[in-house]
Amino acid sequence: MKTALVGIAGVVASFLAMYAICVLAGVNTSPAILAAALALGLARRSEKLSPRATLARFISLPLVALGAALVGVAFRALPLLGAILFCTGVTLSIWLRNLGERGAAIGRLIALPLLTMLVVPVHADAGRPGFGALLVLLAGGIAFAFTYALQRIGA
Amino acid sequence: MTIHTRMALQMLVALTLAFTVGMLAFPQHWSWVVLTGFIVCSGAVGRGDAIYKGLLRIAGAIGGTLVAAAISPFVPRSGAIDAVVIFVVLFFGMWLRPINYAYWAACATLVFALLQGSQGVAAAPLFAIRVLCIALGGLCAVAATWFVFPVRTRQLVRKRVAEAHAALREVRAGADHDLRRHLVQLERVAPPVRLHRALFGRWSRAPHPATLIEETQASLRTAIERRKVRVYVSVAVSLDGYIDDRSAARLVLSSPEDLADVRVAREQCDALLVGAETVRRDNPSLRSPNAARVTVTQSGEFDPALRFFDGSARTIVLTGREGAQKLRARIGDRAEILTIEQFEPAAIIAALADCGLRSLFVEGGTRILTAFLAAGTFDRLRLAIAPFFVGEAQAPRLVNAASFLNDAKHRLLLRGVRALGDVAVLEYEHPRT
Repeated sequence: MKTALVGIAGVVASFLAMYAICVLAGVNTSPAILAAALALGLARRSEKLSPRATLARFISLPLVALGAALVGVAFRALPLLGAILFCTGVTLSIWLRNLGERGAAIGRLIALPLLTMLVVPVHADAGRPGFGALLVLLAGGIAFAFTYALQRIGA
Repeated sequence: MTIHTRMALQMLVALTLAFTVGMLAFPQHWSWVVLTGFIVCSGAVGRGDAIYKGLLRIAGAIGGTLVAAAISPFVPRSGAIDAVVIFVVLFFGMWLRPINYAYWAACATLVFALLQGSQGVAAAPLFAIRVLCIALGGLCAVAATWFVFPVRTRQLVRKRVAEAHAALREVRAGADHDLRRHLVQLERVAPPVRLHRALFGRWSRAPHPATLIEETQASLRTAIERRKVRVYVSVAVSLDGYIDDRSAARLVLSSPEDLADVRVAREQCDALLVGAETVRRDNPSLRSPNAARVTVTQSGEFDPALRFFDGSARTIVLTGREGAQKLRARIGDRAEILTIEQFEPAAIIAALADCGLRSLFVEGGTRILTAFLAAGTFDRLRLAIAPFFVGEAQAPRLVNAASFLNDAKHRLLLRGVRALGDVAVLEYEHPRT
């Protein structure tokens, strides 16, 4: 019950923060759903991270989310290429478990945005691709920050 | 090939099949096929597990679809209300997921239905397509786990049961094993096997693998319960860390107030443990109402006239096979003589747990204290510090040199400091407790 409450709090907070940003920027609100979906995936796993690992995760999750968003763009433009990139990414994320706990953590980091992209395709602003990428980065950062902070408070 | 490489290859095949089927048959909804292919194949430990997860996902999707159809006429169409309902459904999904994955699948389907409803999409025709996509995605995953480096569920169950029994045997011999890990591993393979027994068990005469799992789990739970012995280490030291001096008479370090306090603590334990050297040298009676007296010896060399063997309380001697023969000849029935394979705290605790003892009061001497404190095999440590020095290099110290689990990076928790007469009593708790 407590884990679910903390998890949903992270999802709602991520959604509302990203929704407000999208509304203020006057763009499509699909990055808000992306932030909520990422927070939902992160909430399933509560890890005690060192400050260094927290910083590394805070920087890497948005970047991986951006990579996954590019896979999403590939799905629309060249579906076959998107499928190949997706299969490769997910297969690699599982194989990395061979490298121990660190490899498994990297694998989870790769798999989460890829699967989220499958559930919540982000509608990029065709006129401003750079701004769309920034929103995806923000969604990743906000989802991680809220989920991590609420898990710390709830621990 | 490692298990992770095998699972990665199975996933690659499952996703390739799901993409092919999804993009060819459902160009608008291929992601549902792919997502199900991923979920069903992900972490599938055997063929039965993949089928079981596929069935749960289909059952959840059908359940979610029915609930969506039932409630959609009553949910007012408004962005804010939709969002609140979606978050409430997500919360229930997260809460119920650990109980059964089907609840999460049902909630996820409901969320999709609400999202589509809020976008004005006619939900009913999509539900049938969704269930079909999920069934096909599940089939892709099952096909991959069935044909690509497959793991038969029956073999997996036998392997896990054999590993659990091996751990149980080693624990009984005194080794330290994480039995809970075996419980968890067995539980991971159990759900599909239990479903198989419910559906087909009546036609099988041999014991079903699910029964095998449950019997092994019962043995593991009993062993875990038996090993729950609380260990209380109590020792008095001089200011320079000695527990005695070199004279024949026992050095009294405690104050009368401290001795009275120790007596109360002893009475709350089922057993009092001292080393063989302490029994021989100090000849303690170790009398405490309801507590058994316990000692550990490799040699089995004891004088039957010692007060330890006066028959006034239950007396237990833990020893090796050779020591047991000597003791039976010398002491007879004045003590219960139990054999242990290893002279380590874990083996001592396991043997005492098998005797039905649930709390142990460890009093010394140096070898016993070193063994328990170095291994971290204690819940509480009571350290009484006497206000004087011994200053004899050859006198027995609190502990010998050893590798201690609780070093500078793994400190004990200080739970209390008291003055009892002129003795300072420090109470520490092990962080694990």
